[in-house]
Amino acid sequence: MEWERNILYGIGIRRSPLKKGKIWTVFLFLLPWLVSLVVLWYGPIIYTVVLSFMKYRLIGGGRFIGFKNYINIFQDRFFWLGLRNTFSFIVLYIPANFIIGLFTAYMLNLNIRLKGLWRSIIYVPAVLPVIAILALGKFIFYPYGLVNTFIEMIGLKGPLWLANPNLIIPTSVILMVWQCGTAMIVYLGALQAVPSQYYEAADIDGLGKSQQFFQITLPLISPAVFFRMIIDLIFGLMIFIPSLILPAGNVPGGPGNASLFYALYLYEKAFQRFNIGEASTLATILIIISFVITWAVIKMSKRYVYYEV
Amino acid sequence: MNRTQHKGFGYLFITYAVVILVSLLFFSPFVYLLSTALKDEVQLLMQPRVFFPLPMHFENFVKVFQQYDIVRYFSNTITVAIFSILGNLIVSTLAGYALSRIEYRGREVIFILTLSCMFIPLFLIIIPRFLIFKKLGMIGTLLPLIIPSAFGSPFSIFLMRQFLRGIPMDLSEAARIDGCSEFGIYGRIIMPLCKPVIATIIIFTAQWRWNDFIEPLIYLQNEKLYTITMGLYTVLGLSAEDITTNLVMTFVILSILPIIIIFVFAQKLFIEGVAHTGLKG
Repeated sequence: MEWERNILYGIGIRRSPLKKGKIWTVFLFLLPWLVSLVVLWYGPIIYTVVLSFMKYRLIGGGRFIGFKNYINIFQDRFFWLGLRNTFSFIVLYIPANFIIGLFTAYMLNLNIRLKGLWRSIIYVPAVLPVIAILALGKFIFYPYGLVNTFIEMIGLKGPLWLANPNLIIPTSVILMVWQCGTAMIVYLGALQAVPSQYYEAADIDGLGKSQQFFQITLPLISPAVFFRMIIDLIFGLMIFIPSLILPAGNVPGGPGNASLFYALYLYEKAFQRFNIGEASTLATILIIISFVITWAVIKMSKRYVYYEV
Repeated sequence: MNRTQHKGFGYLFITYAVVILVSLLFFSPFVYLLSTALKDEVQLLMQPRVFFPLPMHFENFVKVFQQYDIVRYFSNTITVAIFSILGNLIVSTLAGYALSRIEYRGREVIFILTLSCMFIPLFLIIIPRFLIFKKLGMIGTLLPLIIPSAFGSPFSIFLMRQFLRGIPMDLSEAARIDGCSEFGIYGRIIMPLCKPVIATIIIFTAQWRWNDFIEPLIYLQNEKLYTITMGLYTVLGLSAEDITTNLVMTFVILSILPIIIIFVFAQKLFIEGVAHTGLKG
C-alpha cells in the first residue's frame, strides 16, 4: 500500500493546494482574535505602563510627569497597607486552598459510594458567582448567623467575624476556600492519573499510607499543584470583592482598613477618584509581579499543554 | 482500585463519617439559605433560630420580583451572555482552528501569547479598556461587557485547540485533495465534529458572563443596565442587616438558580472543561 500513501499524501500533493493564498487564509482565520490580542489584551498592558508616567484627566487627556506617580505611590501609606493586606490574604489562602482542595480530592478518590453526589456538593460553590457566595457568606458570619449558632452549641461565644479587624481576612479566606472545587477537580484528575501499580508495589514493600502519600502521590501530582498555586497566587493578588461585601456596615475595606486590599485601592483610585495616572502606577507594579509569574508558567507550558485527562 | 476491600468496619465507618461531615460543611449554607428565604420577618428574628420555618413563605419569591427590578437584571445579563456567546463562538473556533490545523511560521508564538492571556489579571488591562470605551462613547451601554468577550476568550481558544488536535489531520488532507477550501474544511468537515467542545464553550461563556461582577461594577453606572450580580450588590447595600435578609436570600437563590440548572444538566462539561485547562473559565 506504499504507493497509495505516496499518491494520497505524497509531498508534492500535500504542499501544492495550500501554498497559494495560504498566508491570507491564515490571516483571515486569525484576524478577529489578533485584533483582540492587540487592542484588548497586550495593547492595554503597554498603555497601562505608559499611563503610569502620566498625569491623566478624563477630559483633556494626559501629559508626562516622569516618575512622580511612583514617588507618590511609594510614599502612600495605603499602598503599603494594601500590599500587606493582600499578602496576608495570599499567605492564608494558598495553603488553605491547597490543603482543602487536595483533601477533598483525595477523599473523592477513595473507594466510596455515591461519589458523584459528594463531588457535586463540593464542586457546586465553585461555579456560583463570587458575589452570591459572599452575600450568603456574610449572612452566615453574622453575629447570630449559622457559624456562631454552631459555636454556641458547643458552649463557646462566637466572635464578631465581620466587625473585628483581625478576623475579616480569615473570614474572606474561609469563604473563598469554599470555592475550592476548581482546584479539587484538578487535583482529582491528577490523583486518578497516578498508576495504581505504584501503590500495589508500595503495599508489597510495606510502605504505610502516609509514606505512600508523601513519597508517591505528592511528587506525581506536583505539576498540577504547582500550576494551581500560580493560578491561586494571581487570584490572590487580585482579591478585592470580599472587602466590598463582607465588612459590617458595608464599609469597603473595613473594618478600619483591615481589608483594604491592593486591588480595592487600585479600583477606588481608578474608578471612583479617576486618578488614572496613579492607578496605572499601581497596576504597573502588579504587572511586574505577574510577569514573573507568567514567565514561570511559560517555562512549564510544555507539561501543561500536553495535559490530558 | 479495590484497595479498601480488605479494610475493616472501623475504616469504612471513619471514611464515611469524614465524607459526610465534609459534605455537610460545604452544603449546610445552602440549606440555611433556603430556610431563610422562606421565612417572614417574625420568623427571621425568632430566638433560638428556627431552621425549618413553618409555615413556609413561598410568597417571598413573588415579593422579590415586586420590590426589586429583577426582571431587568435578568434580561440585561441574558443580553450580554447571548451576544458574548455568539461572538466568542465565531472568533474562538476560527482562532483555535488556525492555531491547530494549519501550519505556518509564528503559530507557536501566537499560541503562547494567547495562553498567557489566561494569566493576565483584569486590573492590568481594565484602565485602558475603560478609556477606550469611554472614547468610543460606549460607557452607558452594555457594549463594554459584550465586546471583550465577543472577541474571543483565551480559555475557549485553548479548549478548541486541544480538541482540534485530537481530530486526525488526514481528514483535512483528503478534503484538500478534493479541492475544498480551508474555510470549507472548517465549516463543513471540522465544525460538525466539534459539537462537544462547542457545548463546553457555550456553557462556560454563559457562566462567565452570568457570574462576572468586576466589569459590570466598573462599566455600568446606570441602574437600568445592571446585570444580575450588580443587582445583588445593590440589594446588599440597601438592606439593613437582619430586617430584609429573607428577601436578600431569596434574591441570592434566584441569582444562582440558572447556574445551578445548567450545572445539573451539564455537570460533565463543567468538570471536563476544568480538568482540561485547570481553570474556571
